[in-house]
Amino acid sequence: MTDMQSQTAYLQDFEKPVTLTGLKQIWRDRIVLDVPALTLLPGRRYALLGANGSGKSTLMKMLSERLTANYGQIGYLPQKPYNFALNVSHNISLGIPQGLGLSADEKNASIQKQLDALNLTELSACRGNRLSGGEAQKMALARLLVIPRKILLLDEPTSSLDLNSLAQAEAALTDYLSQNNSLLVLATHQLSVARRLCDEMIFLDQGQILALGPISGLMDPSRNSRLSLFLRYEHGMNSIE
Amino acid sequence: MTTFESVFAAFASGDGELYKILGLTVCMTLLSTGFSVLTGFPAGAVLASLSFPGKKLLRRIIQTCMGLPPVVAGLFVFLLLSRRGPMGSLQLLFSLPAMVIAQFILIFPIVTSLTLAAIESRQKAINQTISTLGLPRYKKYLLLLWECRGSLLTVVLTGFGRSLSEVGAVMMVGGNIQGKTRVMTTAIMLETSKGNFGAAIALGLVLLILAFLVNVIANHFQEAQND
Repeated sequence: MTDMQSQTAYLQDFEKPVTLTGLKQIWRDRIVLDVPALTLLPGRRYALLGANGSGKSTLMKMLSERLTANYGQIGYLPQKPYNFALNVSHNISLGIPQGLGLSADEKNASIQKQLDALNLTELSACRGNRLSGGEAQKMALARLLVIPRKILLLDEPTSSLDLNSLAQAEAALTDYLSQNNSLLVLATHQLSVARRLCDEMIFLDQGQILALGPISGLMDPSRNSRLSLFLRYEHGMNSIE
Repeated sequence: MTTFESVFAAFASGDGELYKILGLTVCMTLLSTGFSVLTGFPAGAVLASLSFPGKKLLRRIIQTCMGLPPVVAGLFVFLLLSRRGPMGSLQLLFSLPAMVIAQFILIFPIVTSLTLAAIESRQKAINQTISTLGLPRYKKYLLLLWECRGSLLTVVLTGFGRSLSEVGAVMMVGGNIQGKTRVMTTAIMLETSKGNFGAAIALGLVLLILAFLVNVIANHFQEAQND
């Protein structure tokens, strides 16, 4: 199998809708997540919305575990990714699995592409643990985007970015998703980012999915009352209506 | 070597016996600490990462062995290596390897237990990211050890200090033979028993200076890493 074929195989395992059932977590006698079933379609981009404590990160973690078990390695960016005390290029290279069979030149080219896309080239020799919050967040994102992946689960990937970095990250993600037709689940507080990057939304409230559908439905006057409350308090969206 | 001054005079004049004692001390300490680190680091990393029945008990046993009396370790190695012992045919008793084995038994639990604690304190933050990277297991352990290197340097220095200052076990299995197994601590004991307190204090000072130099060098590397 050639390198390109192995990469393609890496991408094509996930071509049918996947339904995950029994996504439930109880902590200290409190149900923090209770999702009886969730169907994800390949190539779709889901925004996972919800207030603090609604269970977004718990769902993301559970999705990563279940999807990894079913489909092998996926791209999961936790809310607080660890930045290793290695230089930025080395940190990004950790995202390239050994089994992919890339040559050293191909690896370096992939890393350089991400360094350029996320404006990290000047920092490539810096230690990952010395970066600012925004720089570290871009590095962690680059670590995922360095190879084509069939599934991306991103938990607040842009929360620490300034405007320029946000634009770079969004452009890099948009390019990546259109090139690879990957499934994206993006947990975020930034509604504007969700609306630019995603086409579907999952609204999570107190551990339960209360709304699931096209993100354009956010503006639907008949939307769920808890979603209306969330948008009013979190995003002051009365005026937009 | 009978007085405080005579020890330093012997050092200044390049006294062969004194340098041999010092060299043997450094050699024994480096070997026993090195073997303990080479085995204790992986053992601590694996123990920190795995969950299995009996892990708590194993941890208690290792922690208990941290306080193993040197003479008990010495007795064990003595019986093991004595002519009628299971490894008597190797004829290692009263030699440097015997002293290294005795010290390894003392230092390995210290290195393992402290490595386990150092990794456990940081692995929750590191593991979530490591587990998403699809790395081979050995690389995960190497990354864990690398990220804990500051604490692990302290572990190495603790093991080194224990090895450098140990006397009971090396006396039992080494025999304090001049030119063969005499190290700084056993030389201090000998001078003390002969009433040469000045020489014993001077040798003690040399041992302290040696420990100080090792700490200076280790901390220099640690600070260079942090810059």
